[in-house]
Amino acid sequence: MTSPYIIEMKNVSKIYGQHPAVDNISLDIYQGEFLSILGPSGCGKTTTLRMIAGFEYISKGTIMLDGKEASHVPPYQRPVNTVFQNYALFPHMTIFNNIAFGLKRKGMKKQEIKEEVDEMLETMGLEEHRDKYPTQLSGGQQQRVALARALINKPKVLLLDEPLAALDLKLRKKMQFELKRLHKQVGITFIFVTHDQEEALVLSDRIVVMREGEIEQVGTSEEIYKDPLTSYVAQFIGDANVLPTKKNNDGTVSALGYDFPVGKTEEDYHFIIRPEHIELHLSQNKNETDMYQAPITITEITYAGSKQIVEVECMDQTIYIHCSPEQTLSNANIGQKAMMMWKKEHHKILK
Amino acid sequence: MPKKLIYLPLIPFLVVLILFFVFPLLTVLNNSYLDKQGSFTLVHYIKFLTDPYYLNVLFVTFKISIIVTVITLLLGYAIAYYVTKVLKSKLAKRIAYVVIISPIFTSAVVRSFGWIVILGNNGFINQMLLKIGLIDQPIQLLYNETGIIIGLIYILAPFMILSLTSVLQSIDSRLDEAAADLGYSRWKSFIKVTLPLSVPGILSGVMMVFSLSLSSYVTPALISGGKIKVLAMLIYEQMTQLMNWQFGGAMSFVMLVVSIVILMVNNYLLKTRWSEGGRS
Repeated sequence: MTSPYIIEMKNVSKIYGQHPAVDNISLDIYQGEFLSILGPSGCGKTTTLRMIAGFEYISKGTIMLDGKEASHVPPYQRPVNTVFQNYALFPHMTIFNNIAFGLKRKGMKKQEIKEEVDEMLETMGLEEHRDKYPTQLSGGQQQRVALARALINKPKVLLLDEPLAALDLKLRKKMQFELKRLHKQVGITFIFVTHDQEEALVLSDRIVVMREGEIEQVGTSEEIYKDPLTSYVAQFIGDANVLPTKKNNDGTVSALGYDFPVGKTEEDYHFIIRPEHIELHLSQNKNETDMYQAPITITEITYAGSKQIVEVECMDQTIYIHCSPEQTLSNANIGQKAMMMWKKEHHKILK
Repeated sequence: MPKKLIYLPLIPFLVVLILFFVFPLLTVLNNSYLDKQGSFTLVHYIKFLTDPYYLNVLFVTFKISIIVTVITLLLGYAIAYYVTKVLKSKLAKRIAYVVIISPIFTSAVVRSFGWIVILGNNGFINQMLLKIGLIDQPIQLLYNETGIIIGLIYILAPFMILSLTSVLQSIDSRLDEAAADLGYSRWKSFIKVTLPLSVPGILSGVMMVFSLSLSSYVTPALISGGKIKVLAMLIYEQMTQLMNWQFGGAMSFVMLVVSIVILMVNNYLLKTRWSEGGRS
């Protein structure tokens, strides 16, 4: 029986004192997928990763690694390797010895180690740094050494703890593509922890959005972006206008002049729409269309290169609209009345 | 401001250093190669390095210093490791540091007398061992090398522990996790990562403890009651009791040279082996 899952977490909790850092999460991770765990700091994403690595033992639940119960297996016996946030390279070893460290433990012959490490150095473009020490390398190079040091052990799962956070923007973008290429090349499962939603969207097959120790939503980038289950997810992934709604007695809530059915409920709902899904029309007239529309007042126009960000006011709510840079807004004035329109499939009413 | 002016405030300290340290040292050195009439001779050095009595004192001093250094290193490493890596609470760490440092605030004389009380035939240790029944008669802990070694370990341990804790503290705990991640058990990770990274602390601790025990006077003098002679006692005897400044100077100078050699070896090791790796 071969399970499609490399990792199965069931009802896993990690409790520090009284406070649960991770609260009863269940998560199955496929063989070979690129999974991102996304959330703000303190949401439990790093703790989840550390429980998979074995640096933290789980307080409750079970965790299966490659079909074997692994809840209390020490880190050095798990078929996973980690790329640490600040790389944690051994400062007293050369790059060669850093990368060879895991192989030496396995008792491989010197010649074999040398061949494998040299090959890895080549793949990573680090040949010229073979005999240098970590402090002599730039951040991006150290990053690649950390990746090489982990990957050379041919782990079943590679864990990455915000590995790109310390790099500057340009290098980060470059490393994102390198990571994606590497993932295709080695074909193992990557679990990537990040607080950067864009990074998660670009890299992942699936994204796990976490909030306060719980999983808020699991899905592909597209699902999470297009179909957020909660206003928290909508807000966290991409840009979103999140507006409060007013509860009515007939099981509907109203926002922007429209009523939306939600059924009888005590909970608060939000009206959510992404700025790029709103069209801006400078005329004040209602249009003959089946699109939703609402009257607005323009309060600010910002040119941001690939888009124009228009801040408008609609029924005392501030809303942001992204217009393409081609749309002529030059004759629009601050304070001008206009209309905004959106297709009905583009807004969401979410908790 | 011209760069040279930066050195201006240094002058008072230099004056003090030259007046009270370099000048007396040179006087001692100057005496060491003069005979009673004031003409050049190496007789004091030859006497010190060939006479079996003095050679034996030199041997005993080195032996005691080496044993003290080794035991202090092992003991100090365990304590330093415990305080920096095992103790988690900040309060516990702080208390541990106070306990470690507090002996330094007491005079060596007082502490050595303390050990006389503890180590004596009617002292705490012997009474305890007798009561438990481990021994039939008191073991000799005072007036011998064992006593000196125990006393010196106690007095010098803080230096070792402090130099080790400062290095151990600077070692990123994630390096241990990285080693565990790459298949190394805790012990193996200690051998491969923590221990090599703490070598600078070991070197400076060993250097300090070794040179301090080599030149120690009060503790050996009080605990051995003069029965065991170490180098510093010999020098004191020559200089103040026999008024043989020339011979005392020669011995002082040999001791100084040994200390300087240790210091240089230490610096050399630190530079060659441990500077290029650096620490993050």
